Amino acid sequence: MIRCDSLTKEYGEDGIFDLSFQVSGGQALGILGPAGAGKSLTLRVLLGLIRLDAGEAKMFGMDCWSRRHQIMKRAACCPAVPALEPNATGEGYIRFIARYHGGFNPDKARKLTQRLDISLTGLCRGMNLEQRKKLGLLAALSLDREAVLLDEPMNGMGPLARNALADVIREEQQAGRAILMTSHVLDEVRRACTHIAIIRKGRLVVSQPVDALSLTRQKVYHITFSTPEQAASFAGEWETAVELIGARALVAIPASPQVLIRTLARYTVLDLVGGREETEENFLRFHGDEIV
Amino acid sequence: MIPSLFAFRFTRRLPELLLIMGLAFLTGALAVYMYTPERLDDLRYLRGEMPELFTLLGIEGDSSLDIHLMGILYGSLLPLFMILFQGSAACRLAAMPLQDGGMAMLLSAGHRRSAVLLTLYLNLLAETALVLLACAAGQAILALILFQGFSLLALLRLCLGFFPVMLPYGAFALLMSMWLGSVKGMRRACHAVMLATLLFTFVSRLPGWTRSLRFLSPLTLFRGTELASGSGGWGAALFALLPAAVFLLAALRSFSRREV
Repeated sequence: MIRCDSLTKEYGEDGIFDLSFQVSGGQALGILGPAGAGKSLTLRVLLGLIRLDAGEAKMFGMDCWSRRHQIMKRAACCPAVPALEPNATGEGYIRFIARYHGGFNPDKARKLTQRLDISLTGLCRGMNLEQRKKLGLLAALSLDREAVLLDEPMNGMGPLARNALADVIREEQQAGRAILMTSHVLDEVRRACTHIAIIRKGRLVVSQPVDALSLTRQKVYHITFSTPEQAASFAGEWETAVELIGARALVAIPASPQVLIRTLARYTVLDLVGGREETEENFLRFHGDEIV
Repeated sequence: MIPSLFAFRFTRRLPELLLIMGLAFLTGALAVYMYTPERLDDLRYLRGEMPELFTLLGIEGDSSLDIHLMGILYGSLLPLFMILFQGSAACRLAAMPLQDGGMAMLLSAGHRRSAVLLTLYLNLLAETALVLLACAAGQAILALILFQGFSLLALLRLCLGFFPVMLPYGAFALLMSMWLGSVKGMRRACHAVMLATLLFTFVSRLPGWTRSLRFLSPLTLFRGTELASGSGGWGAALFALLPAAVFLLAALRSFSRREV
C-alpha cells in the first residue's frame, strides 16, 4: 500500500536521504528517530505536501505528489500538532471533517470518543496538546481509510490515553489497514507497531519487525576481579569495549557467553552478574543519547 | 467548489464578519449624514480652502446625494476600507493556514488543490459582497430617514458597480499568500501594493502627467457618475474581471506547485 524508494529531499545538510521502506495492509510501521531525523518530513512527502528531489513515494500504486487527491480518498492522517479551527467546538470540528472528507464512520467515532476519553465540548482554541491530538486522531481514525498516517500520535498524551491508543492502532492494523506512525520513543512503537524503521539524520539505520528487536539485544555482564590489575589485563585481552571501574569490568556481548567464560577461567573472578539488556538501551546504541 | 469547506469557513468567520459589516454599515450611514445641510456647509468650506485635496480624494460635487456619495464614500473611504479588509481576510483564509498547518489539514482530504483555493476565493468574494451590502444598507437606511426623493436604485448601482472592481484585490491577496506564505510578509507586501494602487487612483485625478497612472489601478475602472445616472459604466467595471482572473490563475498555478 505504501512504498518508498530512495526518497531524497534535501534542505542543506538536513532532510531525508535515500530512504526506502514499504508498508502493506495489515502492517503497522513505526518510524523511530530523534527530533530532526526526518520522520515528519517523510510523512509530509507521503501526504503529497512536499515534492521529492529524487526517489519515488507511492501509495496504492499512485505517485504521492501528482495523485495526492486520489490517494487521500483512501488514506487518512493526523499531524503532530493538528491545526484545528480556533473558533469551532470539538464537535463542530468533527462534524466538518465528516462532511469535508466523506466516508465518516459515526459508530466508530462514538466508540473512539469513549475509549480515548475525548471531550468534544469547548472551543478548540482552549484545548491543550493532548486534547488537540485526540481530536485529530478521532478525525483520522473515524474515516475508515485503508491507510492511516500518524505523526507522533502519542506525544503529549497521558499514560492511559497512550495505552488506549496503542490498542486502537493494533486493532486498526489487525483489521487490515496499513498504519505508518512516527515516534521518538521506542516503547510507543514497540507497543503499537508490527515493524520498526529507525532513521537518524534522514537516513535509514535499520528496518525490521518489532519482534526481532529482542533478538538483537545484547547481554551485559558485570565482572568483579580480585585486583584492578586483573581487570585491566582482561580489558586488554577482550576484543570489544570494556568499561572499567576499579576491579570491576562491564562487557556487552551479543551471543553466547561461552567465549567469555573460557576467557574468565584464566582470572580470579570474585563475582559475575549477567542480565538482559533493555531494548531501550539497545536502541540507544544506534542513536547515542538523543532519544528520550 | 467544496460546499462543506465554504460553509465551515463562512460560519467560523461570521462573528468577525458581522463586526466588519457593522463598521461598513456605519461608514455608509456616516457618508449619507455628511450630506445634511450643516455638514455640507462644512465640506464646502473645506473644499474652498483645499480644492486640490478634495480633487485628489475624488470629491467633486454635491449636486445630488449620489454625486456626494460617489466622491466622499466611493472616492476614497470605501476603497481604503475594502482594500484593508480584503488583505486581512485573504491573510486569514490562506496565508495563516499555510503557516499554521491548517492548509496541510485541508489537503489531507481527497480534494484538488485548485478546488480548495477556489473555495477560499469564493469565501472571500462572499465576505466582500456582504460588507459592501452592509455599507449600501447603511446608506439606504439613513437616506430613507433623512431625505426624500433620492434614488435607491442609484445607490444600488454604485454598490454593484463597485463589487467587480474589488475582485482583482482579493485574487491578488491570494496570490501574495501563495507566493510569500508567511503571514507578516504577506500582509506587508499585499497592503503595500494595494495601497499603492489607491495612491495611483488619487494622483491620477490631478491634471498633468499623473493622469496616466490610472492604468495602474483597477479602482479607476469604477465609473461612478455613469453608474449613478444609469447611463453605463458596467463595461469598465466588468473589465476588472480580467485582472482578477489573471491573478487567480497565477495563484492557482503557484499553489499547485507550492510545498505546504
